[in-house]
Amino acid sequence: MRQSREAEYTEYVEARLPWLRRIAYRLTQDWQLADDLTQVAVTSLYTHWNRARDATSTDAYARTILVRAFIAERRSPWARRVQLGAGYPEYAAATADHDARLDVRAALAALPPRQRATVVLRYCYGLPIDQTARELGCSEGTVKSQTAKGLAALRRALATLEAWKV
Amino acid sequence: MDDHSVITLLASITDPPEPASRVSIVAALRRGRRRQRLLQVGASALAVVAVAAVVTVPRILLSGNTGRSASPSSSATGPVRQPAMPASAPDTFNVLVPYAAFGWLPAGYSEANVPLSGGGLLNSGPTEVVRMAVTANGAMVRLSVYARAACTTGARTPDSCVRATTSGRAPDVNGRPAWWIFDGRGIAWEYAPGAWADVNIPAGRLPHLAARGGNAAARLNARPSAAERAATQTPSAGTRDLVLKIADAVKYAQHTPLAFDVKLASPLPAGWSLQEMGFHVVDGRLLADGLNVGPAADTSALSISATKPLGYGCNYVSGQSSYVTRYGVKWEYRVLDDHIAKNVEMLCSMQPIDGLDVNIYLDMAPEEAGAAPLPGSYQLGGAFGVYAGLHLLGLNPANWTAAPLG
Repeated sequence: MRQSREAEYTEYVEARLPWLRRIAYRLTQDWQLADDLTQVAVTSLYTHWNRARDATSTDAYARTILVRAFIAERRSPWARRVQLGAGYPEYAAATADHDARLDVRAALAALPPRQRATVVLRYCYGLPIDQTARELGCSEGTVKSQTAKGLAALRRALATLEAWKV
Repeated sequence: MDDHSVITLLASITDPPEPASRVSIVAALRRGRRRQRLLQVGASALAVVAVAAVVTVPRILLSGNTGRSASPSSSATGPVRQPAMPASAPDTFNVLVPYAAFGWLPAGYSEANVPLSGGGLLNSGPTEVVRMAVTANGAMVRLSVYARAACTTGARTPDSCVRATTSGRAPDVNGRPAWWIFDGRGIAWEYAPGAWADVNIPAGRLPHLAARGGNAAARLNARPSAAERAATQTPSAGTRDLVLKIADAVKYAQHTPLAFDVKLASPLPAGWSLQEMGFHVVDGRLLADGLNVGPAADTSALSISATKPLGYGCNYVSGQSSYVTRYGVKWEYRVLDDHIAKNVEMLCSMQPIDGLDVNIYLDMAPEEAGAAPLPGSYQLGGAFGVYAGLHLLGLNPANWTAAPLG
């Protein structure tokens, strides 16, 4: 019984690990932190595997675990005191408008965790408001307000970054 | 820039090249199973398990060690083969290879009985090696062997390095001059010119063994042995005979290295070196309790321990702690930065990693107020930087190493 359950779990995680890592990266903007976050999430997914497997969308369930783990981690006293992530990107941008993309990454990284998660789910993954609310465990009204605040913060940050370049 | 532009930018973000993943499905399965078991057992049962672990884990680790080839022969009356006495003693010892060992012990005494939680009972340092053997009920025999650097050169009495008051000449130990110490509970002798050693039988017992009366089998047969009676009574001729016999059999210039269940791959700062280390006898091997390294100004600036879980968890001094998951491990992380303990980082794993509880203590400045940082301490990248360069070798003795650096 446990063996078949674990086989299902392993098959799912092996297939979806790259996808989960990318979400974790977009939330954390740091591959080291992304790996840690993904490890926490897939461990938690194991303990909730029966529910995840039977959910309407296992992907949505796994992503919910990941996003909530991210928010919980960023709330911890340690996260408030210590910044372990690298401060600068360590890769070359692939396209000509890389400045704008680096800027938006920097601005995204500066958002508070819940706003960042809301914006990432809404606009990087195109989730509707109701699904975003389910995954974040909050009301649709909260998603709307967090989205508006997040976008406003991004706008301000990008405008500031743009002004420095003039 | 309006919302629409921001949303367009967000949608156009492409992920940078992905480094190799550190996420381990095997680890997730292992930790997930453990978590599930704990959830099923429930909080009250957990408390029972924790208490049981405190009592049984050291015993499980230590059981089966007695009578192994590394243990000295143990007999109350049998003849003891006299070991060769060294012609000279080293100025300092190699801390990785304890210089001396018991060659004979009274019945019931064993180094393998030394509890893992005792700490500091068996030590290998640059100028002193300490070995201790105990009975299941906590009666002790202690051996200290000093390098020449610990003793006043040319001194012809043990006072030059042995920390005990002498009480008259004793019979020679293997032809070398000796004095009684601790009113006859111990003996100190010059094992090589200008270098001393001592053996003593403390009157007390190790409290945590005495309190629970050793293991279950020992409790059933709680009558003290003749050697224990001799050890715990007023020093008598019997006690003197015992310490003399133990001293006669001490072995020097040993080659059994410490085994380490951790290896620090990152380079040490210039001037930092291995320092005094505690160890225990596990499966007949001398398992170091961890790694102690530091510069001359603070010889224990970096302490790393990786031990089989003792059930104590993270036992830090009072103060603010942070809890964090990093490298896939839950940690208790503490940074002290005040005028007393300046710039200390402490890291303690809240769950076993490869079967080991990991503790890292990194002192980046001496304790004196206003003192300059220890040279090279910041090169290590804090406690997490130390952990990043650490290889944990697990519980299987076959994987342990005698070369813990590099």
